[in-house]
Formats: sequence, C-alpha cells, structure tokens
Amino acid sequence: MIAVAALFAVSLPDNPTFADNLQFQITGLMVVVFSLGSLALLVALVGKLFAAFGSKPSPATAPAPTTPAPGPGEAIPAPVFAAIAAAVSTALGDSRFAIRGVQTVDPRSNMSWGAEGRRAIYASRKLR
Amino acid sequence: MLLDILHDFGAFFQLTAFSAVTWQMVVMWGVCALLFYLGIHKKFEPLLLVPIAFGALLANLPTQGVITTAMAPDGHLESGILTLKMHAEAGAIRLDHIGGGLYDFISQGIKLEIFPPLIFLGVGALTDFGPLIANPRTLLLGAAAQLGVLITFLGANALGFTAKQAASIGIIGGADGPTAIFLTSKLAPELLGAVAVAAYTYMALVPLIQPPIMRALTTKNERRIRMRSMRQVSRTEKLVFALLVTITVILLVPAAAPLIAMLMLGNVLRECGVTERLLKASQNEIINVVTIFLGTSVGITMAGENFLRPQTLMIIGLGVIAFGFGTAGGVVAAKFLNLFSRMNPINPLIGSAGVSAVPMAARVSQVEGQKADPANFLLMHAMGPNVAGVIGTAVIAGYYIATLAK
Repeated sequence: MIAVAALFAVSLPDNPTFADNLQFQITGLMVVVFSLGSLALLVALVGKLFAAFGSKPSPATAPAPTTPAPGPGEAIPAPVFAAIAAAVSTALGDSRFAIRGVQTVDPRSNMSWGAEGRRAIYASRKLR
Repeated sequence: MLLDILHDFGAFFQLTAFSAVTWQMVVMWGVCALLFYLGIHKKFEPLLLVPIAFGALLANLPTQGVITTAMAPDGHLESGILTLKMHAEAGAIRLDHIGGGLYDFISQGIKLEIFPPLIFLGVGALTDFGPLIANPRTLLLGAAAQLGVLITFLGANALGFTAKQAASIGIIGGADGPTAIFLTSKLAPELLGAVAVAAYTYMALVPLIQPPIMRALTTKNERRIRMRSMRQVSRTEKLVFALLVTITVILLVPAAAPLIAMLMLGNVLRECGVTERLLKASQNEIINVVTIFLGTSVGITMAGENFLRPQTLMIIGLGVIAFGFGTAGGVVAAKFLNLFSRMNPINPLIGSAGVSAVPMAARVSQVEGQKADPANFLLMHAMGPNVAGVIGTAVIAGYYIATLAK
C-alpha cells in the first residue's frame, strides 16, 4: 500500500531540477523493491505452507523410478551409450572416460549398417 | 516514332517512384543493411531484428498502400494516418470509408498497446517460474537490476530529453523488448524505432556487455560460490504463484496490469495442465504471428526523417549505460544479500541475470560461473532473477505510466 500511496504522491514538475528527478527515481526504486519484496515474502510464506501440508512435487520433477536402468544391448544400443559417454567426457573436460572397445552389433538391429560403418572406422584406429 | 517512344518512356518514368527517393532514404537503406547483417549473419535477436529491418526498409521506400505519412506540427514525420469518412443520417452516424495503408491498420496493434501484452502471453506460457519460487530471494535481484533504468532516466533527462522520453530510454535497461515498446508507445512514440532497435540489439550483446562488469564487481572466491540445490516446486504451488503475482502487482501498480495480467494468464495456461491447446497456441502461433507484426510495425516507424537525428545516437549510447548499471545493480544486490545469509550464500554472478533478457543473461551467469569453477552449475539458479527481472521491468514501467502519462 505504501507503493500505491507513493504513486499518488509522486509527480514530476514540468521543469524538474536534478533533485526532483533524483527523488522521483528513488521513489521508483522503492516501488519496485517494495512490490517484489512483498512478493518474495508472500511466495516464501506460501512455500512454507506447501511444505507444511506436504504437497507432492509436480510429475515433471518426480524422483527417478527405482527400476534399474537398461544396460547395453537391452533398450539403448551400445553405440548410443558410446555417444553419451563421449558427450559426458567432452562436457566434463577430463579423461576419465575412454572407449575400451567396440563390438559388432546384432545384425537384426535397425542401426546395424551405421554401427558396422563406425566399427570399421574405429577398428582402423588405435584405441585409447 | 523514336521520339514518341522516348516520350512515352519518359511519361512512364514519371509514374515510377524514383523521383520520390530522398537522401535520408538512401542512408536508411544502409542502416537496414546493417540491421539485416546483425540479425541474419550475427544472429542478434533475429526473430525481432529481421522483421524490424524489413519494416524499416518499407518505411524508407516510396511505397503506396503500406503506410500513410504526414508532417506533424513539430516537424517530425508522423506515420499511420487513418482517414474516416462518415455522414449523419437520421440521427445516426454512418461510416462510409476508412482510408489508410496496410500498416496503418496493422500498427494499431502497437498504438493501441495490444501487441506487447500478447507477446507477454506467449512469454508467460513459455516461462517456468519454478526456480524463482524455490528461491524467492532472487525477486530482490530482479528489483535491484532496475537500477539501470533509473540511472539512465537521470542521464537522459540531463541530456535534454523530456521526462517521458527519458523514461522510454531508461526502460532499455530492463532488457525487455515488449515492455520497452509498450512504455515508449505510450510515453514517447516518436522514439519507438530507436528505443526498440537499441533494446533488441543490446539484448543480443548481453554476452559482451555483462561479463567485464560481473568480473570487476566480484572476487574469484565469490564467483566460485556453489549454491544449494533448489527444492522441487509442485504444479499447484506454481499456479498459486501466478495468481499471487497477478493480484499483488495489479493492486500495487495498476498501470502494469496489461503486461502482468497477460504474462500470468500465459503461465496459468501452462501450469493448470488442462488447457493444452491454448498453451500450444500461446507458445507458438500467437507469439509468432504477433512477433512478425510487432517487428515490422516498429520498423515502419523508422523513417529516415525521424531516425537520422542526433537523438538516435544518444539513445544508443544511453542504452549501454542502462545495461551496464542494471548488471551492476543485480550483482551488488546479491553481494548485499550475502551479508545476511552467510549459511546459504548467493553467487553474485546470478545477480546480473536480473536485467531480464531471458534466457541470455542467465546463460552468461552460467558461463562466467564455470570459468571460475568448471563444475559449478548456476543456470537454474540464474533463471530465478532472470524471470524476476521481467516482473520488475513491468512494475517500473507501470510506475512511469502511472506518474508520467497524464
């Protein structure tokens, strides 16, 4: 309500001096800080209420399922695992990850032609 | 016979628009080329700069049926003249004809202040306020980053701009394009083109403007601060937040209602979970269509006679100051808050994200944080002040409208 009162009280003269302008801007800053500060308090209060009444988090942020992740050769093909490992290694910027070897893949897999091509390329190079 | 052909050709040439080309138009073609270069090649906010550049090109061609212009009493070229023809008939007024070019009608979306709130609808539908709700202190960083707006107002006023113009220039520091356009179209429409171009260009330059200021105001130890993991926020809590912001801000600053109401309407559509079609329309079709019309309508105000003035250079210069002080305000506020919360400190680098420029400014916080500590991830923490900055800029715009738009 202070902010509302300030809005009614504030008016800039037609030919404002620097002091008028400064006062006008300080009031503006107070309005913003008061408005967002009030919101911060309200949001914190609502957060505590939700915590007290044990509201469940949204499905998007629900904890991971307890079933074990699929291993290589099950749901995620090995080349995809290799690509993920390489991406993690690049993102973290260290050498804790290395490709130990590349196996031939199940010819029934629809990724077999691409995987075979990659296998041939890897096989022609010295692996770390 | 040959003379007749030449005569006819000469007569046809009189019908073309070459004779209407002025030197200002030619100079503005160069400005348009620069804007196209920045938007397309440098990818500076291309979704806005490309339509703005095209609109500016149209404004500087002797078009017919696109925009009507006339000289205003103060000498500047005023665009968007609608002519109405009507007559009284049996006690009623009958409208016979509405005259005007294509953009006389489309640009009513800016003049009637419709486009910026519609953009906010899309922004609200795209924004996750979860990080802000999980760490409500960051709302104060969004407030502190408005320092750039206020200081630039003082600078612009000292340079001879009127209070309304100074407010429109200062709002560039909010780094929020729709709000800048909303406020400028209300307070100083003659500066709309320059303010919009400065706002969107500097938003794209955030990765260049902010880091030196952030590094200058923080120590290496401060930049290494690792913030606590944020708690999970339920959908219900997000919904309550949207309604809470709507009610609180509209009660405190009613003049900010069009922006805040649409921002939070979009967010309610996002979080309620039962309006999938409306949410998708807000996130895609509505915001995309409005962006095209908003950009071109802003560009079409950039007629050479209006844009090629010393004022424009001053606005562009003041824009940098606005961004700089906004960044500094957020960083210093974070350091100030740390005096009171030593057990749960804030990395001051996320304070700079309070200038809005979503999500570019948050990304800058993340990048600068990782330079000091490669395993520190500040992005989600920085999203809190980043979206708080959107609310803060809308509030300060509301303050200026309430006090200056008389």
